Amino acid sequence: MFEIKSYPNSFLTLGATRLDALVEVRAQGVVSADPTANLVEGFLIDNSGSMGEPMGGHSRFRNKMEAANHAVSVAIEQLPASSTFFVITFSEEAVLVVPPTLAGTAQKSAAQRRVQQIQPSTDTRMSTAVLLARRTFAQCPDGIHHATFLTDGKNSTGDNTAFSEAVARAKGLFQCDARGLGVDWHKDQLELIARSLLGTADMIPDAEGVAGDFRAIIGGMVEKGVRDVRLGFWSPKVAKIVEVKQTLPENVPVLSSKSEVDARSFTILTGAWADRETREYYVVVEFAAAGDSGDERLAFRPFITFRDPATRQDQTIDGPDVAATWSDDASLTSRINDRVANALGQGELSEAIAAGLAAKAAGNLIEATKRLGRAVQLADQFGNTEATKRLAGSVEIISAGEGTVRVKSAGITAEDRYLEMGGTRTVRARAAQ
Amino acid sequence: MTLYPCPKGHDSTDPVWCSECSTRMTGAPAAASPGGEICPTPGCGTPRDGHSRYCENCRYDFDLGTAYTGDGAVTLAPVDVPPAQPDPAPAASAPTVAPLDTRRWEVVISVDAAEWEQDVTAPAPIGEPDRVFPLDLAEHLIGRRSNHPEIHPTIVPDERDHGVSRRHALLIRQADGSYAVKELGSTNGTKLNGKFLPPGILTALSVGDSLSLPFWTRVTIRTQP
Repeated sequence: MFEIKSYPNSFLTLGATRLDALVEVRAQGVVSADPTANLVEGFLIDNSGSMGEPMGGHSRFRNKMEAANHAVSVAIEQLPASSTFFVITFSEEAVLVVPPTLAGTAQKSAAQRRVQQIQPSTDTRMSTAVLLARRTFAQCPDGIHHATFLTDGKNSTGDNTAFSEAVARAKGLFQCDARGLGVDWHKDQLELIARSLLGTADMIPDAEGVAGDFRAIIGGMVEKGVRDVRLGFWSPKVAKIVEVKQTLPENVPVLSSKSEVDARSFTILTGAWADRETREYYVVVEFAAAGDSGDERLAFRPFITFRDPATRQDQTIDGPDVAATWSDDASLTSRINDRVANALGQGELSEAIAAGLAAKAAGNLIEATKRLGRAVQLADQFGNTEATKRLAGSVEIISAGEGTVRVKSAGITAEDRYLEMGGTRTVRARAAQ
Repeated sequence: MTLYPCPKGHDSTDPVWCSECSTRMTGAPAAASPGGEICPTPGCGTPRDGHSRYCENCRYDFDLGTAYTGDGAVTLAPVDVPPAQPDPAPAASAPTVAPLDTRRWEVVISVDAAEWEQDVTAPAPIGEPDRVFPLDLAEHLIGRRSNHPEIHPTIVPDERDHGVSRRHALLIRQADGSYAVKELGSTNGTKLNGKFLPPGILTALSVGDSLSLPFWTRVTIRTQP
């Protein structure tokens, strides 16, 4: 079901104790007709007062609420008949507008009619939505639990503590993708949801884009075939894993969410996987002591655990042994594995985007130009077209290869926020040229 | 419990890696990745994906043990091709289906200024070395790279030849393994063996055919040696 490959920088110079490796995990043959693999989808839709306001520019929708209602209807239409869905609106309090319903044709139509009647109310209390979603998912124990969260504004100041607590309590119970419509939302709040609940955080720049974004989210979710997959690492007495970062499809530090299995191993929850899905992780191991020239030592062994949806048995799949060899041959030790280089380079890309935007926000346009120019160059080098597209909104690209850019405007614009939200996306290593 | 002596003098409970110091035990089998084979290209080390002929990262040819030599920026995984056989006899007038063409094709890009009227402001770089692109995908686009709109051709003539369009011509693999060419309505047109190709119409290619793109790009079809 899962294939694990490792790409270590195997050769260490004498005296070195740090091993870098890239671990690639690929799901293979994850297709299941079992009810435990059916999608349970919750739509968590902001109906605060601001949703009743129109967005700038030409739009089919009179206001953001109409756009959101339309997007939920489109997403419901797309759900396969085996899935279950519900709709929650949240403002002053959360309301279960559509209770958990099987996605049959009649039920879908009824739900869509109900969704069209959602009206903007007042206030934004995100904690209420997360707590109600958690209770509602608890009524559907089987299935892959996923929520799509949409807001157009910031959380009520008085609700922030309750919101963090609610998200912490929801951890491991459902996954959630968080979207901010327009520019008035708070990045940290979307990322709190995305990081804690194994989803993505992104911006939807205009009302016309909501339906397309939801369609992409649901399209990805219906592919998922196995839930609660854990990535684990076992390391011997003399080695300690000091860093694990997901580097594909997005740069996310994941080591902080580890749960210890025993003194030698730990696992990280990775959520649901689709067939042929690939994710990559960058792993750093620190040895207690360096070896002698020619010594080869085991550093770690990655593994995957999950419950097979077909047999309902827990399964563990072991990856390859990853070992380090000490050598005094500089031609071996200076070699950096292409895949490790790709992961590090795209990490630098994320950092360059963040640093460039921070400089721009601080009014330092010289620094911003330098950092964003470097980001353009790296995005071009790694073929990260999503990053290039978003960068092109913030800066005028004069030469991608040279990293020459012109910052379009002072101050943070909507384009900059769009770039900021997409700055951590990565792409697979390109074929060597 | 069986104990195994490790080269560093520990007693190990594990026969492959010392349970104390983690060093590989003498006589233990070399580490094998699940796929078994590992790409020997320096800096690559990608495990072979099943029985794929090529390394998915650097396109090293596992069957022949040769490095990839073309210089086209190709991001798609190579397609498995049946093993090479001697050239099939030409199906002269046989009424049966033509035999499957199992030869591996490639194209040679060379500089040839004879076919077209030259742009005097940008003379052809006569004497430039030829470049070779293997035909290993179902479709190969010949054209110039472009960021806006994003076009990533798999066969890129010399960028200095500005007579080549971004989407100039398409080489398409046929059911029998041979390739056909489709002119994509390029600005300056394409000639096949000296004659203009009508845009949008598939024309079968044979080994030895030569396409000419303005102002000085020649694309010759041949089989891989």
